[in-house]
Amino acid sequence: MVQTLAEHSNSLEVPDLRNEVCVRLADLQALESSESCPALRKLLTQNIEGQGAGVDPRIDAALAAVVEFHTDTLEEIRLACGRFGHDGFEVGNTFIRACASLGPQIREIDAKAAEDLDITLVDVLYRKHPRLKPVEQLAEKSKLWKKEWKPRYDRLIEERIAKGKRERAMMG
Amino acid sequence: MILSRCGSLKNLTIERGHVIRRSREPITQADIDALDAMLSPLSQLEEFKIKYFGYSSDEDARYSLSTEDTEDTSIQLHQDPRPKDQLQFPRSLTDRVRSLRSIALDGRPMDWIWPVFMRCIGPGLRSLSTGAFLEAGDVDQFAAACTELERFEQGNTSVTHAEVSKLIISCGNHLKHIKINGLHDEDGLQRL
Repeated sequence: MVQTLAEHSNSLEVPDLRNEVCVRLADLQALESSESCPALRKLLTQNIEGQGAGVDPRIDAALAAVVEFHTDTLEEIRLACGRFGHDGFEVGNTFIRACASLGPQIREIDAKAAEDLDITLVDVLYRKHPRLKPVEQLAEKSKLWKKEWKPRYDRLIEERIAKGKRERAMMG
Repeated sequence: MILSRCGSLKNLTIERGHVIRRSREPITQADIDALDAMLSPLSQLEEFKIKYFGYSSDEDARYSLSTEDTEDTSIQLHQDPRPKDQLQFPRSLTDRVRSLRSIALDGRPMDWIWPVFMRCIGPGLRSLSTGAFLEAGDVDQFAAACTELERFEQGNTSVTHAEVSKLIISCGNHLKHIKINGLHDEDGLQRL
């Protein structure tokens, strides 16, 4: 399906693929071009093939390439696996390093840190993007989690709730 | 009464039942007539959303739906329904549906409304979100009727990979947002 989207949907901004919609390596590779879905704002998938025995370096590299080809548009990346997407999808150094190249529009990267992830890359990522919401499953091993990233998470969530309240109030 | 004074309304959501407190009252012709009365004065309406949580009717007693449309007078989906399960959608209601830019049918069951709404999808529709269980041929039908869909959300696993691909190709560069909750197993059980 992703390959069909990449080929035919040049204006695609949000592919939100849940549950049994399996995303394979070839699907991700179809997005490895600045001409494939150039307006991609969100990448939301609950079922990426290849997880089980840790990070598949080919998948990690493919995800990194998707990010690098959409650095100016991606605002949100949510990766999960397991039944109904209940398990965190593990990402490695290649992917997180690529995420650091994203533009200031990025707001959320929800994935799980691989066992051997260089956690300082996550610190670099969050330092570079002050509006990026920290995610516990990605950053909890960082020495800065309690001191910097968790407080930032709380603040951004509070801001989001306040914004929602203001919008509801304006709606009457 | 209130809606009749809101001729400029562009966005309307109607709720009945809740996901954990479902409505026990079955849908009747009076509900369809009330829906028609609500929508009729809303000539500017662009977005319409229904959140309905009820109980599924018996397999042997599903709704028989019909419209007053001259070109499509018989959406008779199930044989020999009980009289109280016969619902007729007035022409004024189906015409209003045809003019919408956005339709969202949230909840279940949707067998009392989806077959009619699906046939009323026109070229002006830009956003379709449905939790209805789609039957074979449904996607083909609305993909042909609406080739400029910008947003499509399917809330269950009743579509096949081939159908979604066909829809994607049909919508082409208009499609901006697609949400698919799951895919029907084409190698598994035969679908309706």
